[in-house]
Amino acid sequence: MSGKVFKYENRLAGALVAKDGMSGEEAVRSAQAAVEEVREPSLQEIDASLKEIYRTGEAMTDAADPTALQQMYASANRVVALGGVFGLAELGQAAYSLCELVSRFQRLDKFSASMIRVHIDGLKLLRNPDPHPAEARRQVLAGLRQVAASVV
Amino acid sequence: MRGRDNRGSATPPRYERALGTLMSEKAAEPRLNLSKATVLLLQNNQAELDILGQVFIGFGVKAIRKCLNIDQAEQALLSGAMYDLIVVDCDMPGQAGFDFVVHLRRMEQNHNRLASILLVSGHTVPSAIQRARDCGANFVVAKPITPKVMFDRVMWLAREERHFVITDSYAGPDRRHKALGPPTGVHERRQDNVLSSDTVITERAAS
Repeated sequence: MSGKVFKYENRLAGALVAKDGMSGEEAVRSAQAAVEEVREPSLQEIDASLKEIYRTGEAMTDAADPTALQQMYASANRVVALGGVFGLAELGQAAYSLCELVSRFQRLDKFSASMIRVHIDGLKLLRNPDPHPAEARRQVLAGLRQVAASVV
Repeated sequence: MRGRDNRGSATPPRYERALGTLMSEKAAEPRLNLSKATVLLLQNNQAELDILGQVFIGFGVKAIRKCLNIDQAEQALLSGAMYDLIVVDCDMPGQAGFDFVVHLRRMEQNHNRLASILLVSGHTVPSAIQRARDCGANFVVAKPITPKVMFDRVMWLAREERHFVITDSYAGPDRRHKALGPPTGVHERRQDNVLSSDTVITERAAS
């Protein structure tokens, strides 16, 4: 095997400074404030993605629809990306479980509409987490993960 | 008795050194000045792109190029701009984010091929895990991308000292984070260890 190995200039290293700049705490506080500016449109995007998941799930019959499953996967993956940024970490985790379930269906050529529906119920509950005790939410998430992991 | 005396010592030398290192790190808290950094962001959808953009604005970055698809990102690479950091979404359709990184690392005439590349990933299907490792990025970060997570990773990238490796099947930072070599007194058995070759040179990105 032929190869070449070389040291190279890490241009980002110049940003590492002893004075000026921001400490971790300052940078995180500043970035958090900047992120807050896009809270509303991001929450709208989360709700649009959830609506898409609910709509696709309700239309599912006992037979797998590869296109619908792929759409559902993409929507759930958006919720994974956005949920945790705005205090909806558990919603993001439930969406991650739905992604895992769908990817197992796709990979193993299996399908269960009821497993999708139980995830949708979990997403609906965790979109508004406050009325539900933390222990109940934890159990919902554990149950969803168990459902996804059962597809082998 | 000697062993017992050593164990009984209140501050064994090794412990003292480690403590000293920790204390000095605490005293000089690492700081980042990204005001002169140029960052390219490639994300699969507008909401994620906006959040990531806001994170870097908060970090003080003034030059941010935001791209929603591969074509826009490739145009950005060819525009002559030099990027210090490139953040790529793993969740592009058809795993196009990985292809983008592979392509960039092979662009010999483009100075951006040596830029730090951070992959951000939501749910990852098994087939994508190996691609994430082998496409040539510096690091993979799991979504959601919070400011804390991103700051820690940028700090890590700024301290990156791995060599750059180019072989027939891979171009990117050395995938071994610790290149310790074989144990003392044991010779390297592999014939194809590129690090044992005498091709180590120093390359600077053209400015």
